[in-house]
Amino acid sequence: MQRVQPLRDTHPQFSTFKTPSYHEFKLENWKLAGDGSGKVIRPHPELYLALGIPVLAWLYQRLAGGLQYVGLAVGLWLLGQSVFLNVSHESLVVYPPHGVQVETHRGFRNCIFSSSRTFIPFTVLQDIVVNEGLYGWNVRYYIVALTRPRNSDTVLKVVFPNLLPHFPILKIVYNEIQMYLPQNKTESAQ
Amino acid sequence: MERLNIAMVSDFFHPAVGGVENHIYSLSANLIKRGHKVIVITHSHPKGRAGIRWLLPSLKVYYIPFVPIASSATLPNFLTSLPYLRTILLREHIHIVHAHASLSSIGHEAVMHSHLMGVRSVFTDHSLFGFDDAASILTNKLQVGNLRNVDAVICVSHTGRENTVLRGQMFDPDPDDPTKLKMRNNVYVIPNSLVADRFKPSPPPPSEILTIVVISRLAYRKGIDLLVATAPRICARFPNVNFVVGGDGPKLIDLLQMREKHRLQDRIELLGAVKPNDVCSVLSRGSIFMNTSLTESFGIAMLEAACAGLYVVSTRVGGVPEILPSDMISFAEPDEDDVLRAISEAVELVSAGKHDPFVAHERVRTFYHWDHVYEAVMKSPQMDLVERMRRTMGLGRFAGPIWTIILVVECIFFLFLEWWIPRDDLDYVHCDTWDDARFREVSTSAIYLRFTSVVHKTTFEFLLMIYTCAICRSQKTQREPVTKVSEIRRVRARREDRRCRCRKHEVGRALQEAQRRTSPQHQSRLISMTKTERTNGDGRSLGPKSRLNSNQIKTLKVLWCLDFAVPGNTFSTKLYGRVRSHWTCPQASEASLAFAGQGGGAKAKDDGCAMVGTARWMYRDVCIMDGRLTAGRGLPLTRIILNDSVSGGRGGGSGTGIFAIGAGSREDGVELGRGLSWDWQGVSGVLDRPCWEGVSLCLKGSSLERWCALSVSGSVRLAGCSGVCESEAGLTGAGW
Repeated sequence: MQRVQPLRDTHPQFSTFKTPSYHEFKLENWKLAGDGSGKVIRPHPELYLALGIPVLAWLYQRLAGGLQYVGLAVGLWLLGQSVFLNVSHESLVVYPPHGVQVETHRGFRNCIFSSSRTFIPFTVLQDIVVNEGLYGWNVRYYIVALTRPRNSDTVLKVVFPNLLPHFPILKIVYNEIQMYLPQNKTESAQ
Repeated sequence: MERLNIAMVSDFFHPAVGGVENHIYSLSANLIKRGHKVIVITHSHPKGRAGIRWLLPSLKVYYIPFVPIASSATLPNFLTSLPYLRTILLREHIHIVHAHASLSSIGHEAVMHSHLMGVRSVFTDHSLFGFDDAASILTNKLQVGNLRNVDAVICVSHTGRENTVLRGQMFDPDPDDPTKLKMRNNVYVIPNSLVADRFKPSPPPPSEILTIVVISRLAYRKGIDLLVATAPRICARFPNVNFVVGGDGPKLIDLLQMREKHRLQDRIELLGAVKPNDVCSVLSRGSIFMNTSLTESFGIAMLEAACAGLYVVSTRVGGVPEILPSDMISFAEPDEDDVLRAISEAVELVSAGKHDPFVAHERVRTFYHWDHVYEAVMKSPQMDLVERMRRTMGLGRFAGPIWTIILVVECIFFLFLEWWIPRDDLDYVHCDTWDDARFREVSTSAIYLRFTSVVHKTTFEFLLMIYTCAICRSQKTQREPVTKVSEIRRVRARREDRRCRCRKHEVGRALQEAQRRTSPQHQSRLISMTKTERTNGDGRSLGPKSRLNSNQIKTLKVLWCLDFAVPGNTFSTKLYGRVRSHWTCPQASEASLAFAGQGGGAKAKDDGCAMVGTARWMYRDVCIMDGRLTAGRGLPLTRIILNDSVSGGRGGGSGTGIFAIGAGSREDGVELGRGLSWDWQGVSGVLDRPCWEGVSLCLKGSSLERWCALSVSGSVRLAGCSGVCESEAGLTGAGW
């Protein structure tokens, strides 16, 4: 019952934690440097704060009258967004008899400001697939849960929507989650 | 030859139908059969066909979101596809880019940009163009610039080659004699090919009637006007000749009008659009194939018809004379009288029985087979940037500098993209999970299955499934809709029954375990609790029983017991800050314990509620309990999810209970509505807003390390006996 990093050398930000009642796949918002040196690259939203405040102060001086407040408000809002909405970690948790849950936690590692979780029960979940799609000018792999609420059209719910990990991580998540999905269980039972 | 990764780039690909599209697909399928990897890059089509799709056999198609302006061709824009091409060519580890069709701007761009990524390029020209009309002049100018620096050019016929070389100015000054021009030696002719087994002849039974088959896109360049002019004359001259015309297009109206005018409804049959798989059966209805195109660089339709055993009559344009031997085809100038003459010749020949379809089929089989020039391209060295610029400057007084400027801007844009989307940030394609031998097996048979829909059942162990296939799979398991209320109840009951059979037993078993394990005084209390609360479905109270069997669990108001996954833990249940009881998790991994908890506010009886149900710790501070509550509307609730803080280690802070309520099965469309109330052991609650199944209720009080929001529609306040929110069933676990 220990947190395991399945890809410790290349993607240590991905870890799994398995207990009899749940199985969690956690992805944190940092990565190793690409050159193999082992350096850890973390996003530093506080840098934006540090840089942004002088810029704001300068703008405050330059703008006149009411525009100052508007500018300040906009600037502070943007800064606040980058700091408070910084994603700390995202995870996919499988509760075997019940369903899966997709979570996003924002804040810093020691201090989470907000978390948003979406639970998808197995009755609604059709399948979990890895697909690739155009993402701006890029093409990314993503893992998605196909849900079908109340016999209406299928709705897609992307897992790890903000961090969008690369394929090796998705492959592990996909392979391990197959045993929990109900249709696989019924098939294997048959 | 080692495995190559090839990218076919063209604006013309399926779902559009045509010769170029078929060519690309067949070529790709054959290359895959030989063990190479092929992808196709094209523009998107309306109705959501953008993104990445798969075709058999393992052909990946990238539909890039560009908008076509006219008949599937996009506007030439030199740099807008560079980002997409760069990403795709890099992530797929492409070695060669193969562009098709002169009018395809994405193809030209691929050739232009491929050098930046060290990718070689090949261009195939499929059609003939003129030199003096506006569209041709523009196309030729663009083509000259591009073909300057391409590694190889393939044309589909010798006529085509002549045309391409002249249009694209593919000649350089002779190194020996600068006044002369020498053609570049990287222009090849590879005629189109076909799969002969798909066009086996099955001639109609001999009869007086001779049928002429015409299958083509009914467009101007296919010479439909010529057909419209000659068909009545043929029908007049030969009373035993009938026409079968397949295909669709803008000129269908003209054919219909002609038919009306000359009253040839019983002699000319119009089939409309013909599916590719049906082409052979349409061809086998006739004995002569007629083609009246005004321009044709190859004419694969004629080749297919000849393979199916028909005698071909065609206009002598473009590359047509090269494709078939002269005893299988009759030529005519694109002029009415000459066409009439050629048809007469053909009719006489076929009526006299001088054309044997089976012999013709065997001959055509041996004519063409796919070959490729990739090996030559790969072996030749790539030219470097300086030479490329020098060659580009040599294009002309104005064109040279313009193209060179474009080249320079392209390089700068590429450097920007290298910074914006760095190479180690790309999602490279990994193929090591795919079974090559199996692919080969599938692809060999798939060449004959061009457009069959992909049915992915569990036979395919592919990791990457296209989205539509996943949808198809989910649609297959759709339940039929249930309409009547009694039906609904029955179905619901059946489903619940089916589902909770195991749960009942589980709960029952857990309960019995719980009862066994609790200390005697608690046990007696437990029994007394359960005794008072047991009712059956219609509210009558059942007699006391020391053991509860699974049938009654359904009607008990609340039964909770706790499942602790970690044996050996000691914890105490604490309610309202007071420790109620200590429990030790027994050694069995899924032990259940009952705890007597106080549920609810001040009015609750002194440890009066037995909450015995099955709860599982989900994540330290979440447990799910299966209880049965009957809600105000008579809807059975199956789950209560209690989310609680674990204050172990923090000196026993008060946990605040969070309840999430699970409704019955979602398939019933059961939704918890506003005003739903419940009451357990003295604590009642009311939902003051509608919620989905599994709702997280408001949190008050201590901080939670983690809480499970199993809801989508916000929070609900529990109107407990104490007023607001909270049945404070705090649970402390030491050792967590």
